[in-house]
Amino acid sequence: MTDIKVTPLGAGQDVGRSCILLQMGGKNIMLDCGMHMGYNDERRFPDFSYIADGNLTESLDCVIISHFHLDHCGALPFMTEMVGYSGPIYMTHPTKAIAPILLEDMRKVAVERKGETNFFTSAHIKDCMKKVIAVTLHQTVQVDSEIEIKAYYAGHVLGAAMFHVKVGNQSVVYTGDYNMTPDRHLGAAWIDKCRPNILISESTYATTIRDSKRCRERDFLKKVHDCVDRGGKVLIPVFALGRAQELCILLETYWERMNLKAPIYFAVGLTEKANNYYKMFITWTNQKIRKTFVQRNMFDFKHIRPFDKSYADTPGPMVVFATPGMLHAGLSLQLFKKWAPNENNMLIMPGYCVSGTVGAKVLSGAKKVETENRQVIEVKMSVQYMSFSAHADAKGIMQLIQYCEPQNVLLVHGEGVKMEFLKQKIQQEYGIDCYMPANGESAYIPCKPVVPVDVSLSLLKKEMALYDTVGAPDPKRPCRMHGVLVMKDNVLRLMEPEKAFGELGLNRHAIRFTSCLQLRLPGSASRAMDQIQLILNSQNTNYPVKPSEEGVLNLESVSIKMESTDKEDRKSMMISWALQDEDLATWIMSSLRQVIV
Amino acid sequence: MAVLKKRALAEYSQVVQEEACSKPLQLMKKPRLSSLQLEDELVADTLERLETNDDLVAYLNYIQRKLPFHADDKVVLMRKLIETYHRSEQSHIRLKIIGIVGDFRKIPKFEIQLIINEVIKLLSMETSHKVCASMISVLSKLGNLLVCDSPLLNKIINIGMQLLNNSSHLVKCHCLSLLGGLSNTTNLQGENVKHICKFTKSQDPRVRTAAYDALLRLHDRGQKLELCVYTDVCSALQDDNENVRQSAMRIVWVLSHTYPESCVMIPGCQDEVHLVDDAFAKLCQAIGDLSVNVRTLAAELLGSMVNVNPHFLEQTLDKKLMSDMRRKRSAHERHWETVTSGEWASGARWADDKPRENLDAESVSLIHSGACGAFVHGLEDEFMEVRSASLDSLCQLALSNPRFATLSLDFLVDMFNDEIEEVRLKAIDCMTKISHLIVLREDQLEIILGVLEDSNVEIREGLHRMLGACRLSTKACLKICVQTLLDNLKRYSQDKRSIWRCLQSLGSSHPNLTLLLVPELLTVHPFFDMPEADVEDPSYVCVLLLVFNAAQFCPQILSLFEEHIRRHYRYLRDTISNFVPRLQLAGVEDMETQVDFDTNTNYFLQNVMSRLNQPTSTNQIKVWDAACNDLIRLAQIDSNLAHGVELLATQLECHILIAKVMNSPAWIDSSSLNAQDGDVVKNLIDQLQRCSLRLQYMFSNLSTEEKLLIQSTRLQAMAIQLVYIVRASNTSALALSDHFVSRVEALKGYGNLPSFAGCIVKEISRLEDTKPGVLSRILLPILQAHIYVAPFCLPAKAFKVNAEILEPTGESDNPQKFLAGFVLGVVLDAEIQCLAHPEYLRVRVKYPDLNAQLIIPQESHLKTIKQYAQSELNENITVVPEHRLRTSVLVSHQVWTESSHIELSLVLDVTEPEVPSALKRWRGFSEDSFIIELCKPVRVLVSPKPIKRGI
Repeated sequence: MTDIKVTPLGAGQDVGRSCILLQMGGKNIMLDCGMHMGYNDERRFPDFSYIADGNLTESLDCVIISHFHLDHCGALPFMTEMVGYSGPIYMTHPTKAIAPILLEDMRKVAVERKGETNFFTSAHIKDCMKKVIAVTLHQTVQVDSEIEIKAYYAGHVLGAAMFHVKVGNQSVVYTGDYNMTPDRHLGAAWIDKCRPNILISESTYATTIRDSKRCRERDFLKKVHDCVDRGGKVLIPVFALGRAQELCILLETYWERMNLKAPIYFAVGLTEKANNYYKMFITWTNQKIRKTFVQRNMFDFKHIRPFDKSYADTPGPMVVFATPGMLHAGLSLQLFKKWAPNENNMLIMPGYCVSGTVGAKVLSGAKKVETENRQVIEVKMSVQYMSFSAHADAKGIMQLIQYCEPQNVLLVHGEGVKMEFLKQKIQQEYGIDCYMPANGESAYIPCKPVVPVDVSLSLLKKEMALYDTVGAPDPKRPCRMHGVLVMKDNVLRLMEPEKAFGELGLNRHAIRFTSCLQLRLPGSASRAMDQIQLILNSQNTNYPVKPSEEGVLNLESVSIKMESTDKEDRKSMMISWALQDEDLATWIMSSLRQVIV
Repeated sequence: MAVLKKRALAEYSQVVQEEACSKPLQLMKKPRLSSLQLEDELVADTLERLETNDDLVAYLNYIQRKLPFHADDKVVLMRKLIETYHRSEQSHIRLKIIGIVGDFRKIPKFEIQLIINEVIKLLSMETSHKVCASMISVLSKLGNLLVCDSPLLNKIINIGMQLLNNSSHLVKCHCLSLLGGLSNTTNLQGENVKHICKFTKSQDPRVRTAAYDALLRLHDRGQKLELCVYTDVCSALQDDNENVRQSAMRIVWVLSHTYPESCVMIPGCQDEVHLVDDAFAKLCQAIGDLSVNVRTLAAELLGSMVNVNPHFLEQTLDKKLMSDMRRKRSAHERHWETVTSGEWASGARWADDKPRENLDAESVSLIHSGACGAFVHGLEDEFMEVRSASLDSLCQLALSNPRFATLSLDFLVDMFNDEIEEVRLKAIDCMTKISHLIVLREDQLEIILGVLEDSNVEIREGLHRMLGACRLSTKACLKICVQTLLDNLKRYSQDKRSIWRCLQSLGSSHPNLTLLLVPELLTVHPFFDMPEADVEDPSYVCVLLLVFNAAQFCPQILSLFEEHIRRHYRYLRDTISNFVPRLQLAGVEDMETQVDFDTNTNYFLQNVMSRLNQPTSTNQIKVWDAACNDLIRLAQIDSNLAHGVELLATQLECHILIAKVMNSPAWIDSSSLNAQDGDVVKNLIDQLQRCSLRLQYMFSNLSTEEKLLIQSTRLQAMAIQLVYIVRASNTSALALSDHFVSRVEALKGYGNLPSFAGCIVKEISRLEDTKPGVLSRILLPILQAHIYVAPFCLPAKAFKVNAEILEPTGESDNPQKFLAGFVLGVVLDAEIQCLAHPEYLRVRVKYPDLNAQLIIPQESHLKTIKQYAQSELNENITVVPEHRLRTSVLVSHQVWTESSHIELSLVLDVTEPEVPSALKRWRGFSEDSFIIELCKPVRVLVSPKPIKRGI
């Protein structure tokens, strides 16, 4: 019952198809529901039959989507519409706005180009999105009476979020993809010290510490600038969303700063729609854009215009962003064919290329590239590689762990070998447990059971006041609290005794013990009392000894009284104490005995 | 008679009004409250009569606003307030009253002890925590006014100690700040400190923060904090509350300055490090904190820890890179290697940053231990506050450690590419500051020069300053530098002056490198005569400036000059003399004449001075007039003396005017006045005013005596005006005389005043009544006694304010069009030297219909230019403070039929200090007479077009 069970259905020691099943406190939560871009068979979707056959609504309490990349949300329509799930789905507002665009695009490619059947339809995407509940950053959402989720900024793409999921006393933070260094359009991931039981972190760059971004940016800009200056054309193949915006902003501001006139074209159909959303969700961007958007929205590009195919042959310098990112098809490949033979032109690859694509061949230095129809292209243009990736590096991951101080870490979304290294490091440097389950493998994370007790406010205040009046705070001094523990209706409550008795309808009985000591002390009874007070005061600093009238000394509930007997120097000392001060009384007796008797 | 009637009427109408409105309701309370007198019956009455709490609060607010007042029965008022306090059940009213009672300390000569005793009395009975807390803060404010050893102070401190045990955090916090602010720091044996220290362990973060702040306060007041708190404070750096972390960081910083050399054990091993190093590492760690405020503070504090071990310091720029478990070099390192190996990056390789050796998994530490990479992180931070604080600190540390400066160079250059302009500017500024410590390599220079294409003027000019101040390593560096600057000039011709200045200092700081480039730059060929370049060509002038300035330190260059270059030298020396140094060109005789010329002017000046200081003659005015003309001419000739001579001339002009006025009979006698004479005098007085104002506001860098002399002349001018108005006109001079008296009183404190001012001060202090009539009667004889008395001396160091509008140039014939009724922004770029009163600077826009507008330039548009380079090169030259105004002047007008000129000029508007508010209505002043022109107006052609209807 107290264990938390985490089962990756995808992204366990792997990148792509993020889908993690979380079971805690008797609740089942799905974190992300992505698809694998590398497969075209049923392997591209997570194995939902693992959860239940048929309808999932019964067995899942909620689904949380971290951001709009397809490897994190691509399987969502399939799951809700084709497998069947009608429970709540949570994502941030920008994700909810942009995800359907990407899903639709992917559907088109799959169905219309590749001619696949048994794929979800546009209507499915629409219906699926209707089930989505959008959340705002730092908003606490109550899913049901027990599950509570809260989103934090992740900085990976617009609207990317980390989610803090809480069930009862247990909590988990799921990071999705995140970035700890700010870039040109997004800020850095941030989380407060929420001390969850588990931090489920991505680990794409588990074994990398990256260089400052500024050098890379400067290099990039300088190369583009030089090429444009000598009249060349620059081709930048990009993926549809995310980095494209960053590069656009980078070039746009540079053009502005340097007062450059060469045109920049943007040839990414679906990005235009997405750009509108970028303009709207200004609060999700970085400091600079947020500060200046009143004067000018940075996504209102002044220098960047939409591309038309006729521009490809216009003479003079230009910069073109074109999809797809790996040069394997589409406009980017067409432009590449046209421009490659001219040594003035330049190709900048801003991201990773899968081996086998034209992009990868060109990057590895091939001077002649063969395309699908046996056509050979001579590559004379200069080819640059610039990595602009928005994942946290090893240092960033460690920093996030430091920020939120989890009790356990669980790594997903990365290669197993690399995870191994990071796992070691985490265990070594933070001394906390680290897990890295593979796909379909469950990790059971033991958690200490916590028993919550409600303390009545008045009792707390009363005891606090007592504590405060004693003196300066001292972490070493124990602070005891007197109350009655009441178990009722499966709830534990700590109450003031009077109240508890009142509630239970019982009469209160107090037990007092009384004892008598015979002492040999010269002088009158009051002098003897003074002497005892001195002794007690000198030995005991925590409890002030208060003399009351009629010659009685009070110490908490212990009271001491002296009576003269018939003989001159013999006194009988009466001590009386209540049950709760048994210890104190014993201590007083023994110490007095030592000194006086 | 008429006046009497009017007054009576006025009073009558007032009475009626009061009667009419005093009946209804309590609303009337307000006019009564606003009556200026605050008599104690009124207070007593009002305070007792006010029934609703809202009224009471309003009234209390009123009292508080009126404080500090000079009523007599403040004590009674306080009693009443305290009575009200006892009556009121609402805590917010009690809170207000306590606030007011506390504010009584502002009343001069009020007995503080009384307030303190009252507050202490009240405090013992108070139950509301908020009121208690406010009482304590009142006590702590009052306690600050007490003498050090007074028993009352001890009483307050004791109360503070007792109330620390209060259950409310608010009370505790205020008690702690009271203890921090008042505790005796001299004979205290750390007892209070220990007690306060205990509260840093409180469970309430607010109390913890207050405790640390109290410790800081004690430190500021001279109590040395003990070393033993260090470990505790360090653990507080991990506190959950960011305020606690911030305060703790400040303490760590304080300790690191107090005990830099003490040793601290490193947990986990046996090594010891100096406390300053340990603290530095701790603060560096805070740069990775979760809260922006903490990060900013950490970045700020690092800057002042200059005595930290260089080893630690260098670590802050170190970030071990790795890729896929293999060590990787940073771009900076790679760059450095390509440079040192002589191989240039081909720019065509993929993964030329590919990782090299394999790393041992054990040896990699991922959480930054110690100072590692602190500045790398700080400069990459998401928030510009952190980045700019990091830049400041980096610069400060680099200034004290040359090796670190060299290391930090790459990072500073990187920051030139920041997304926020302020940060970029700051990076350039920082670079300028440390430029004397570093030598730029070619590859670095290339990156820096790339920024010269920035479209922002500030950035470019900042960079020009930086380049002017830096040191270049090779000839090639200088060459690309010059080339890029010339490109820059081609692109942005408005940068001309800035580039000139840059090349001037580049030349004078790199004479030997320039020597190598001279043939190339000047296209000198050993055999062929090359075509002579056009001396009006801006880029050729740039090259010449570089060469000439280098030639003053490297005589070999002189021998390379051809005839036409010598000619150009003479031309430039004449036209832009402040950019061209004096060269000893063989065969050019102007060197000798220059020297002769110098002695001539000095001799001439002495001559004039001696004539001035001769005993008065009968036609003194003529003597002065002649001298004045001489001086004005002299100022035009000799630029070295110009400022002082001009001051002297202006002063002389004032005295000539004074004498002229006094000699004309019309100025004190309106009866004999024929209209023409009257106008003449009026004009003269007006001129005198302007002249004396110019004297007062245009010059700076004066000694006290010189200032007093100017003040005295100004007083004389004012006195003449005052007497004229009293005697020869029928306007009221009441406000004017008050103003005059206040001016005289301001002079009272000074010893050895000039004779005129001295006399006036003496007379006025004797005077009880300062009615204009009386005043003028006294002034007249003094004035007459001082007509010709004016001790002149030459204020050699004086500066005269001088403005030059660089843009618009006034040469453009293309009208700027805009829609009538809308605004047009005309870009104004001006340099102002020696501006002593930036607050009075205005831009005046004169329209063709003679309407004039004064525009206050935005404060941020007026910038002081820091001149690092010049002050460093020749220290004996006093650096002239210089301002740069770059703003856009908003112009608007209704429609004109054709385009027409408007005039822009810079002026000083001294209406504010010179015309007291009571005088503003007085017609004797035209507003114009309080405006001092600083430069010739520039004409701009504009044409407001009618709005097109329809679209």
